[in-house]
Amino acid sequence: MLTAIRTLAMLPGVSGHEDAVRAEILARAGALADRAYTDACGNVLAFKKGRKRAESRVLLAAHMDEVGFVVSHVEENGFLRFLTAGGIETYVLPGARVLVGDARLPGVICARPVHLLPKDEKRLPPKLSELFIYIGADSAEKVRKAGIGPGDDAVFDGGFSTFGDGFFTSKALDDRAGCALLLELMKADLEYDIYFAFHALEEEGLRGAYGAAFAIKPDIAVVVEATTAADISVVTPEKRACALRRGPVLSFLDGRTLYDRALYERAARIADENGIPWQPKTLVAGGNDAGALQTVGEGARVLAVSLPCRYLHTASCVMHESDVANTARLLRLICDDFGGIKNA
Amino acid sequence: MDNLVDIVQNLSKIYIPCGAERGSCDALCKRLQPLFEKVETDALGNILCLARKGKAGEKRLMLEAHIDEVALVVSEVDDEGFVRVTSPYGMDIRSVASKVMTVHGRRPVLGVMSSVPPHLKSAAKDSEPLEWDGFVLDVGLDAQKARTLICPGDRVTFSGEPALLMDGRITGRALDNRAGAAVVLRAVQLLKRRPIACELWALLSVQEEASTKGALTGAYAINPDIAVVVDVSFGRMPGVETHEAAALSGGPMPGMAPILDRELSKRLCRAAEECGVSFQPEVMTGSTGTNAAAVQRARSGVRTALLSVPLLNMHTSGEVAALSDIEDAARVIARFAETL
Repeated sequence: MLTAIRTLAMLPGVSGHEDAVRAEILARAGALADRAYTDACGNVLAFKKGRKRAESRVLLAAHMDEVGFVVSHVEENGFLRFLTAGGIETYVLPGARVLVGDARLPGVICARPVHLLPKDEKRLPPKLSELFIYIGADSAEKVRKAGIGPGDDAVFDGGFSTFGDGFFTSKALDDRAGCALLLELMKADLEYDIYFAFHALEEEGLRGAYGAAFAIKPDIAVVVEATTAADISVVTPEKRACALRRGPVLSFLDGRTLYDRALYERAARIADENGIPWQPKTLVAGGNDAGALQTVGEGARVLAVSLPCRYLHTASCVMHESDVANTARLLRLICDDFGGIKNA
Repeated sequence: MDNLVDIVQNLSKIYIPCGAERGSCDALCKRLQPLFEKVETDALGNILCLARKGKAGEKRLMLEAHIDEVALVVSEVDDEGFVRVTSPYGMDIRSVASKVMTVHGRRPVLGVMSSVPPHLKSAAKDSEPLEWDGFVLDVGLDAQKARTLICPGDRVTFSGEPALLMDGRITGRALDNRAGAAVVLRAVQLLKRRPIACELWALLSVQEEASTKGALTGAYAINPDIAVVVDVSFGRMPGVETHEAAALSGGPMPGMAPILDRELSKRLCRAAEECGVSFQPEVMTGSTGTNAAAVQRARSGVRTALLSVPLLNMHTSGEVAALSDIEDAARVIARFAETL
């Protein structure tokens, strides 16, 4: 499972340019599902027949895109100005390595050296306008010749590492880990027919999800996400939202969505009955594709089953192997249960 | 250690945290032996290397570069197993969040420096200064296990290996001052094939980031007549003005400052001209912020010159230098030594 997550997480896929991820997922889903195809939004949609016809249309969804950077301007001296796609804190950027453009040229995000800053700025997060990507070219002409220009995007280049007792870190675990979980489910001998969606553009306004929901018209949509865990000792307990090693996170409410209460309780009961640890998300923050899936067409009942993830939207997202295993188990049971819900 | 890329890459792969250099320096000593007649260390951990024994009446030239890198220091492992740190050596606090780091504990322990994601941050936070006690290093271990591997006082450095960018740029941690150390080693390499009339030493010094301590005792021991200190300085980028920085790949930066020997500074410039190397003079006052300040006041004083390599992102995980500047600095120093 970790290998599958790693493979997907290492691919570049800034919002709106998910091509590499899409190609990989389409190839894998094509081999596992009964039908897999892409749509105009750039989503990969798939359908897998179960042993029985489902009583309700159940959709499992994860998003393919990751936060990243878009080159906005090339300075005369070859430094690249950039915007962020998705929400990225500037203080995770100075010194970060990136891969730029389709050629994946290595670059580094540069900030003014701390030594030259006025005293009152030495410890302030830099402004985005003061940060530049440097690829080694010292003129705009050389940048152009390297095939890089405005509109090209860049992703974090951090590598994938395991550390501590069962932890792992990489860019883009939000939400390639979710994508990997969906592909894993597709391998299973499922009880009921299930629809799968791998969304584009989650980090830029949930736009892929709107299109996917319109095409599939699910009765029940389960979003499989990476959700922010702030379970570190410098954050007070009431602000931690959720914690690693405590199993899948079930949301009853977040910044975008009031989740279906009955599905939330049903998922919790399934977990309890099967001895799978789970946790509620205890902070109303963030949002995900459920916000879109819930309101398209005649609407859908929504649930979010998430992997707790530290340091979201950085080059070093951190997850724990046990959460991946427990979330995979719970999702399998949810699929085999939700497909049997009548008149959803 | 043959070509320049190998020299720089091999040097910047090694972890040599400031104030805890000894283990790494011992290993480095072995690798330096083929290049030198004699390699030894002193009480602080400096590496003193004799490249050419002088004849009677010849001057003694010392090439100096600090070999330590900025590091954090573990203050405690807290009850949840997270590592708390202090920063005595000038690491850029704006560059640590979410970086992969290594604790040099009982064995190397990998961790991720914490960050708080945008979802949980208030808008006001952007105008609040970052504090070291707002960060923890996440090593993924419970307190008991973490404490068996990590102790207060252990050093923490950025993690990872250098990489090449286009046009001969190299990026990585600790190029401050492995770039300078590479200049020194490359200059010694060049001088092996040339006749010189001076005794030649290389000093790879420790604890520069802790206010230039190693260079003081190292220079005392070597007792040079003339010293060339090699360090990094500020590379030009948008927002960093022409007068306070030099262009990467624009050539090395001969220092001009009251504490530096005027005649030697001019000789460095002349040496550059003689080998057709473009250079970018760097004018400073005060201590120069380099080991030149320590070397100059060793014993009864040492005539000292300074040559720097332009660097971007100093004291972050992603410093950047141009290999051509490193090579050119070495050529200038070799020429300088030839003319003594």
